[in-house]
Amino acid sequence: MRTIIIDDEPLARSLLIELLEDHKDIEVIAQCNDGFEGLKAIQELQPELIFLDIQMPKITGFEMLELLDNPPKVIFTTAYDEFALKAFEVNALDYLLKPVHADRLSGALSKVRNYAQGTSQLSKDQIIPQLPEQMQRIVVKVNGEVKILPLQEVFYLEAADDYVKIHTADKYYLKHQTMSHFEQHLPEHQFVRIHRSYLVNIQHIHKVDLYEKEQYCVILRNDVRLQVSRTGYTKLKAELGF
Amino acid sequence: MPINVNKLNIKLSTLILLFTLAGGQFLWLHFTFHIEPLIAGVDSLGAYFLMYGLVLFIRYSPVFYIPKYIKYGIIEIPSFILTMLWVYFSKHALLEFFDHNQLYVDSWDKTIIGRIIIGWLLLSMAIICHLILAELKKAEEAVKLQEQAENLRKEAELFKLRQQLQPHFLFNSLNSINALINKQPKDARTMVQQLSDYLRNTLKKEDDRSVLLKEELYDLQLYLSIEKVRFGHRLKITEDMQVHNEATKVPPFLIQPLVENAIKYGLYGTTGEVAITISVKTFQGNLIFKISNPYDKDGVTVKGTGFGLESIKRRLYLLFARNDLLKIEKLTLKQDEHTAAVHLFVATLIIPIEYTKD
Repeated sequence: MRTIIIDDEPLARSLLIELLEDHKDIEVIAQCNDGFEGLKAIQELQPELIFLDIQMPKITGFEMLELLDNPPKVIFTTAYDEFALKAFEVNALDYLLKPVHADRLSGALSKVRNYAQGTSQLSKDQIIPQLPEQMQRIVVKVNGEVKILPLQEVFYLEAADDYVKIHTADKYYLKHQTMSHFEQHLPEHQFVRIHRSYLVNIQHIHKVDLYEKEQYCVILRNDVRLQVSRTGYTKLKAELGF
Repeated sequence: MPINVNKLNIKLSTLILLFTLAGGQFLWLHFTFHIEPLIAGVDSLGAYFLMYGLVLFIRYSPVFYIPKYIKYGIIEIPSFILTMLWVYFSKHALLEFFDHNQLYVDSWDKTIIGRIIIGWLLLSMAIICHLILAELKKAEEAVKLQEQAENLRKEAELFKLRQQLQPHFLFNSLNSINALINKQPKDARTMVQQLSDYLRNTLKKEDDRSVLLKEELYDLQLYLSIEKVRFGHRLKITEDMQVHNEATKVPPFLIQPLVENAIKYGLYGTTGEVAITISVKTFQGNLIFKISNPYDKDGVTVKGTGFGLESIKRRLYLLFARNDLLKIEKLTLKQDEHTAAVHLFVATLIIPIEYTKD
């Protein structure tokens, strides 16, 4: 099985390689220092399995996974991360705690092999653990480059088929994700679902206007107008307190 | 130590006492004043039923919370007022029914002093009991509060322990040792020694006891050597330590978290080489500790940003009652047109120096 190890500590990688020597079907084809190298290597080499550290320079392992359209099978490796562990309880293929035990590694690998024999492709939700913690930034990919958007720069999010358009003051970025995922994980008092298709950052609302009988719209600071649904209007009212 | 008072017992005892007194009064009226049994019975039962009402009023009326400054001697005043009310009301209510019986009407004049004395004693006792019960309740609550405080303290201690142990650092270091064991056993052994020394020294430190600066710097060296094993390919640490007085003392947990913070944000905020410079010098009775790390100008750091620095500031305030001992600067360095600008995060810590007496 073609495998890539992504970890920012060289010794952690060499330990995994040493332990993987006992598993002849695992072939380590690349090692990466961070999520950026990881993204590149995964796209070029199309591995079947990756070992992924969570805390890494600039972007976390979770964020790197979010940027992949067809993620390979993932085994997380982490030392001690309460949030990550909580996430794993909800949903994960498998995870290894550092220091990595040979037995646990074998167990994780047999899980991977079982998956490989059964369903060929895991759905995205199965692989990416649902993070219980709140998003504090959004990581997007622009022409192959990774860009980190602070939440205060995001004006609103718009549903676009399988994607979500993330609008800043004058640009937008596409991300393969659902609106409800953003609705659940963005800070609820900052981002309000005003419409089936819109999630708006209330910090950038300039005013709320009546444009037809019982039909409202919001006007953002960059003069963009967005339609507000009836339930959206109730939520907006509660959040802005008017 | 919980305090248990059986409330039902107290209520029953009160009722038995009142019935006994009612019985006594019945006999007194019947045999001494020759009142017919019906009137004597109604009189004593009615009077003590009213008394029971007054006792309940003392116990449960919020008005009856006697302020602390009223000491026990003055209890007789409210109890006397209540007694007069008791006698007044029972007399008028009973005489309403039995005003045709001259013998009974006359007996009131002869028994009124006795009735007042009995009532006064009873009500004083009731108030004293009430006060004692209230005190007991207060004591019980105090015990509960103390238990809660104790729990909180234990939790805080555990939290501190976890902070000191830094599980992330500890487990990652163990993982590195694990990686070294086979191929570089000597390095593995050195790292085990450094890690155990570092942990032992950290656990030994106490919040409020200053340590020798040279010990603090030795621990820092241990910490840095471990981090160099883990991140040697990226970490470049430049040190400039100028401390001449061996006896210099500093509070613990100030320098260490600052270094951890710099390494963490250097390593996780940027990619590529992380150059960290540390300098220690003394200036006008102060120890100046300066550390700088590169940071990503456009980067958005994940949660926990600045928390480390906030807690150091808080600690400095608790120790020295000053808010100006930790300075944070962000610098941009550009050597020439061909090299990219370097963004530096510089933290300067000023610690007023103490010296050991011996």
